[in-house]
Amino acid sequence: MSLLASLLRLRADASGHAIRTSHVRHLHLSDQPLMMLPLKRTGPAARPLAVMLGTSPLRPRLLIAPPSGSTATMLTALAKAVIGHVASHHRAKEYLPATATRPERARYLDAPQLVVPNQQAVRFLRTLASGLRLRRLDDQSPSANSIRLLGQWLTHFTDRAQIPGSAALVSLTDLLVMHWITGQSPQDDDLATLLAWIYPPFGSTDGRDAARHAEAPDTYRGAGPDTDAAFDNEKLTPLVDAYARDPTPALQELEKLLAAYLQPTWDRLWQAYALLQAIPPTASAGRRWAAERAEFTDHTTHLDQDGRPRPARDQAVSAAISLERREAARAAFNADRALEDPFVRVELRTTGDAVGGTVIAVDDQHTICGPGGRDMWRPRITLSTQDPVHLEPGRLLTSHLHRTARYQVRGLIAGPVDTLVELEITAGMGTVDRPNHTVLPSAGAFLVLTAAPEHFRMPAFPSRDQTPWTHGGPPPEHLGDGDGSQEEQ
Amino acid sequence: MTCPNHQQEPSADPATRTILDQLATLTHHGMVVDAPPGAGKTTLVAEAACALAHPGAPCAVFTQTNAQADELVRRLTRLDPHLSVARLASSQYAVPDSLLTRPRVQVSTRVQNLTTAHVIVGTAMKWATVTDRHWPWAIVDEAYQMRSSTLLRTAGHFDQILFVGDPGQLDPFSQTDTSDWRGLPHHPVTSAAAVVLDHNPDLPVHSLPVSWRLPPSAVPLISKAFYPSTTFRAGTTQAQRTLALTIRAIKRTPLDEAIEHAAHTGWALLELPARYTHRIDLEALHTVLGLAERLLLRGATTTCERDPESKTLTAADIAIGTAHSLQAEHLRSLQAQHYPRLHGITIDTANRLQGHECAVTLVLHPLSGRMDASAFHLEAGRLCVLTSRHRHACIVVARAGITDILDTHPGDEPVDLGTPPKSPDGWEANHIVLEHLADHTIRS
Amino acid sequence: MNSLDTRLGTLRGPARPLPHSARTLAALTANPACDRRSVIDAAGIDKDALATHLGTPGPVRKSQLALRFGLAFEDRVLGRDHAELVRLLRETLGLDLADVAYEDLNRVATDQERSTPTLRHIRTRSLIISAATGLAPPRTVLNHPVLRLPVAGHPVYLEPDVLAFHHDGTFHVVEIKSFPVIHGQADPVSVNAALTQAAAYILALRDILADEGLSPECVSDDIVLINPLNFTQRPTATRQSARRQVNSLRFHLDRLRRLPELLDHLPTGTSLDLAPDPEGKPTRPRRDLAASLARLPAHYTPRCRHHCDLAVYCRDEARSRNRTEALGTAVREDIAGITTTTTALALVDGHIHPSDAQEDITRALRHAQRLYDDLQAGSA
Repeated sequence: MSLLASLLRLRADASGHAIRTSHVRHLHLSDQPLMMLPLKRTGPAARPLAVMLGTSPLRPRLLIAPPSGSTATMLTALAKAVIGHVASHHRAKEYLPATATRPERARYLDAPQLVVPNQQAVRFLRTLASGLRLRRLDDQSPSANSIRLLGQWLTHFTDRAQIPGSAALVSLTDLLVMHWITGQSPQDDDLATLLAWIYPPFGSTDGRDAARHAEAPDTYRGAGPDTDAAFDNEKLTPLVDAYARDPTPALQELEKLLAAYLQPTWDRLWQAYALLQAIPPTASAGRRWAAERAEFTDHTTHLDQDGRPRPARDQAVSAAISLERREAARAAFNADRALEDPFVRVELRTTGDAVGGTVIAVDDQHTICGPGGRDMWRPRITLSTQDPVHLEPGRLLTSHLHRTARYQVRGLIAGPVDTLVELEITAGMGTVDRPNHTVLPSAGAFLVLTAAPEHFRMPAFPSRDQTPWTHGGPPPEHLGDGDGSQEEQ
Repeated sequence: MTCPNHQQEPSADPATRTILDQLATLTHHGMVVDAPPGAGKTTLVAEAACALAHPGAPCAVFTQTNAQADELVRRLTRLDPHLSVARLASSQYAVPDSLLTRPRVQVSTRVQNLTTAHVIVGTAMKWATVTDRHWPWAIVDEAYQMRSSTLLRTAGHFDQILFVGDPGQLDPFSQTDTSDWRGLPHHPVTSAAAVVLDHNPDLPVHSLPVSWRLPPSAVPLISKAFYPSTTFRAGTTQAQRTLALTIRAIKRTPLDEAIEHAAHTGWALLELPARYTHRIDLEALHTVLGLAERLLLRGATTTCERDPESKTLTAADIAIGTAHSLQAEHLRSLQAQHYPRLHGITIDTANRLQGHECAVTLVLHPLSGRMDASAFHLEAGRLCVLTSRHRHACIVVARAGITDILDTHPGDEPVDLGTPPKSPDGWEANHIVLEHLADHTIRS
Repeated sequence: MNSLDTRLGTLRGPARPLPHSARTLAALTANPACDRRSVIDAAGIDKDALATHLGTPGPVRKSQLALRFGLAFEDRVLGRDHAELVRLLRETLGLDLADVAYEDLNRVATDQERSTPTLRHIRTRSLIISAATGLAPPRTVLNHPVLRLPVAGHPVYLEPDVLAFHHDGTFHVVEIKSFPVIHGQADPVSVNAALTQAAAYILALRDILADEGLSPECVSDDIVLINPLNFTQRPTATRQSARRQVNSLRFHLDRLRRLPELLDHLPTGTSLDLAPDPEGKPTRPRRDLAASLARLPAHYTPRCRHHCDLAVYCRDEARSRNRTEALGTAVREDIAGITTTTTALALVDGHIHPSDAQEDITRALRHAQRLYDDLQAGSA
C-alpha cells in the first residue's frame, strides 16, 4: 500500500464515495469466461456443497452435492462442465516459427478463463484439485477418470493463479481493488460491500450507505465458499436432517434453497465483470495472455503425453523452479504496471520508488572510459524533484515513453525543498551525432522515471534425479497414483 | 592438504584448530559451523579454504554479496601472501581497484580463466552460473543467509561442502507468496544451513565458542537474547576494551550523558519523548547523527587487545544501523549536508550490516515511533545484527513507548503445522534486550 | 469478595458473570492492546448481549454443522475403546499400547459431579498428582479432565480433550480438532488457535504440579494435535510445540494485574448493566450504555471481527468519530500520529496548521495529493 492509496482511502471515507484509481486493466478478460461460484459444506475438508457456473449471466447451472454420501455424481457433472469449457478452446492453433533458442511450436488461439469471487474460492478449488487429481487409479470407470481429469485442470488453473499477472483464474474481488479505493478497510473487502461502494444501487445516497445496507445481517450474502453459521443453523441443518430421513424431496428443497441463496452473488459477479471488462486492457495484458495460451497448450500436451498428476507437495527442484518463476513474474508484472499505468507511477513516486522532476542541467558531452580504454558517450542530466526519492546510486531507471532507455542514478543531493538527482544515460540515447532527444532531454523538460525491469538469465536447476545430497538426494519416483486421499463414502 | 608454500602459522584458536583437523579427514558430505557474532568466522573460512585447496583442484568459496567476496579475498591474501586467490565476478559488477591491483589475485568473469588459483571466491549467484565442472570442496560463507534454492543449483558440483554461518542473523526472505511450501524441509526460502541439517541429521555440527568482537559487556545479553541454545563467551576482558572521552563537555546534554554512560557500561538507550512518527523521524535521525558527532567532538579514544595504546575514534570506526533502507538513505543524505565531520561513517540497514564490525554502533531502534510491531520489525535477527556489530559500545535511540508496543503485541501469529517455533522468538528477544536497556536509559 | 471483584461487579450489574473459557483466554493474546475487552471479560459481561442491545449484533459463531462434524470426529478418535487414540499416541509419543490405564472423568463421575466442574477438577487433580508422584500407573490417559487456572484472582475451569501421562514422567496435552490436515498442511490460524487453547491447559497443569511442590517441567510444551487426515475422517496426529503460545499467554495473564489501574480511570457510576426486565429484556437506554462503554478505550482493528462480539460496534464507534481505525492498519501506519480522517484531510487541504510532530507527514500527504491532482488534470 502506498501513501497515495492511504490518502485516497481517507478521501473515500470522508466523501462516502469510492475513488477510481487505475484507468487501465492489467489482466486480460475473456469474452466468454467460465464463471464459478463454489460453496463448501461446513465440516469435511474441501467437500463441495454446490457450484453455480456458466458462461452467461442469464443461464447459470447449479450443481449440488448431497449433504452426505458420495459426491461423485456432482463432481462428474462439474468435470463435464469444466472439461467441456476447456475442450472448446482446443480447436484452432497458430504456429510460431522457430527462434534461435527454441524450435517451432504450436499455440492454441485462445485459452479458457475461470472467474471466481475471491481468493478463498481460489484456495478452495486448489485444495479440491489436490484431492481429485490424486485419487486412486483402481477405479477406471469413465466417471472416475473424468473426476481425476477435473482435478488436473483445476490444478492447472489454481497453479497459474499463483503467478502474478496470470489471468487463467481471476478473483474478481482482487481485480476490483486494483481500480477502486473505498472507505472500508482492505481486510473488510468482499464482493457485496465492495460493489456497493463502487456501484451503489439506485436509491442509496452514497457508497457507504449502500455498503452498510449490503452488510446488514438480514441482507448480507457472503460470496463463499464458506457458508455462514446463521445460514447453516437456520436453513441447512434442517435440510441435512430431512435428507437423512428422505433424500429425494430434501435434495429438491436444497436445490431451491441454494439457487435462491447464490443468485444475488451470481448477479454481482457478472456486474463486477462488466464493470471491469469496460476498462481498456494494457498491451502487456495481451502479451501475458498470449503466454497464458502457451501454458494452456503445454498443459494440454502434458496431459496427452504423460498425464501424471503433480504430486501433493513440491519436491526440492520443483519448489525452487516454482519460486523462481513467481519471483520473475512478479518483477515483470510490477515493471509492466509501472510502464503502462499512470496511477501506478504516481503511487511509486509517493513511496520514493520512482521519480518525476524537471531537467535543470544537461551534460551532453560527458564520456566515461570503457573497457579497452575507449571513450564511451554517457550524457548526464540533473533532475530537480520534490518527490521523496528513495533510489540508491547505481539503480537503473527507465521511462515509459522510451522503454529501451536506461538512466543510472549517480547521486542524490537533498535540499531543503527539492532534491537533485544526478543521472547518467547508459542506453537509448542514440549516438553523439544523432542523439535521441526523447531520451536525452533538454533543460526544462519534465521526466518521470521508474525502476528498469531487470532481465536476469537465471542458471538452470539440476534435474529432479540430480537433486544433491544437501536436499536429500533424488526423491522417490512419483507414480501419480492415489495417496489415500480418497473421499470416504 | 595445504597450499604450496603455505607458511601460515596454525590457527591460534583451539576451536578453529579442531574444526580444521576434522575437515582434513572428514568422511561425511560436509560440516556445519555455527558462529556467533565476531567468533572468527571469516578467519575460519579463510583458513579452511587455505587448508582444503589442492593443486589443480581449487577450493570454491561462496559468499552472499560481492562486498563479502571482496573482503574475503583481502583476508585470504593477508593470511597467506603466497596463496593464489581468484575472484569470480559477474560482468555487471565493478571489482574494486584495490583488488584488481593486488599481486596474486586473479579476477575474471569466467571460471575457465582461473586455472591456476588455489581458492576461487564468488557470490553464490555467480557460482550458480558455473556448470559442467566438478570439484572436491566448497565452502559456503554466511550459510544462514543463503537460500536453500540457491544452494540447490550448485551443491551437486562438489563432493564435500563446509557451511559456515551465524544462525542469529537475518533469515532469507522472498516477497512472493511461499505458503505452498510451508512445513517442507526443502522450503526454497529456508536457509542453506537449515536445509542441509534437516536432510542430513548426522552431519557434524560445531560452534565457535568465543566472540572476539563483542566486549564482555555485550556477550551475556546477546548470548541470552539471540543464541539461547549455543552460548558463547567473550574472548577479551573488560580491562582490555575501553572507551574513554578525553574532552569534557562544557554543557552536558543528554547526548553527552548517553555517550558517557555507554563509555562506562558498553550500552545506552537514549529515549526521545513518545511520539508516533512516519518511517522518517527527523528528530531521531538528527539525534543519532548528533551522538556520532559528540563522540568525535568529545575526543573518544579506545584501547583493545589489538591496540593497547589508546587510539582516537574516527568516523570510520562508527556504524549507524537502521531497520529500513529509507531511514539509512535519509541519514546518509543528512550526514552529507549537515555533519561533514562524520565523513567516512558507515550508515546501513541491518541486512547490509551483516558481517560488519565497528568500534561503536548507533542503532535507531526498529520499533521507535511505531504504533505497533510487525513481524518485520520484531524479527530477532534484525535486532541481533544491530546490537552485535560493536567492539566497544552500542547506543540505541528510540522513542519512548516501545515497552507498550511489545506488551500489547498480539501473540496469535499463524503457525505452520510441522514447523517448530522460531528460536529465539523475536518478541521475547526484543523484551530481553529492552529489559537490559532499561538500566541504561537516558531520557532526552 | 475483594475490592476488584466489587468494582467489576458494579460495572457488570446484577447479571451472573460469564466465566472465562479457553477461548476467551486465547482472545487475551489476540488483541492485548484492547482495554475494553480486558475489562469486560474480567467482569464476565456478556458481550453478545451488549452488542445485540446496542443494535450491532455480532455474527453467529457456531455452526451446528461444524459442531456435529467435530463431535463425530471426536467419537471416532475416542470410540471403540480409544483404539484410534492409543494408536496415535503410540505413534507420536511412543506410548505403549499394552497397558494404558484409561480414566474417563465423565464415566467415573456421577451426574451431579458431571455438572459441577469443581468436583471433577478435584478428581482430575488427585489423578494427576498420583500419576506424577508414581502412585498411579504410568501411561495414564485422562479423558474429559477438568483443570483450574487462576485468572485475575478467579478460578477458571478448563476442559481439555485428553491428557496423556507418559511412562517417562511427562504430561502431554492432547487436542482433538476437526479442521483437516491435508498433505501435511493445516490452516495456520486454526493451528495457532488450537495451540493457544492448549497453552491454557499446560499452564493449568503446571499450576497443579507447582502447588504440590512437583516440577512444572513435567508438563511438555509439545502437544499432540489430532485432526482428520486429508479428505477423510481418519485421524492423524502431529506433535507440535506450543512454547510460543505458552509464553505469550502467561505474559498476558500476568498483564491482567493492571486491571485495578484500568478501573481507576473509570468515573464512578460507569455501568454496563443491561437492566433486564422480568422477562430478561434489556431496558437500559442505549445512549446511556454507549456513553459508559465509551469510557473504556477500545483498540479496534479489522481483525477483531474474527474473535470479538463487539467488533461491529467498535468499528461503527470509530467511524462515527471519524477515527481511522476502521480504515485498516495500512492507513493507520501511513499517517501515524494523526488519528482522525477529519484532521488528516484538513492538514492536507491546508485548513489547519500542522504541529511540529505532524509536519513531516503533512508534507508527504500534500505531495501525494498534488501528484494525484496532476494526474486527474492530465487525464481529464
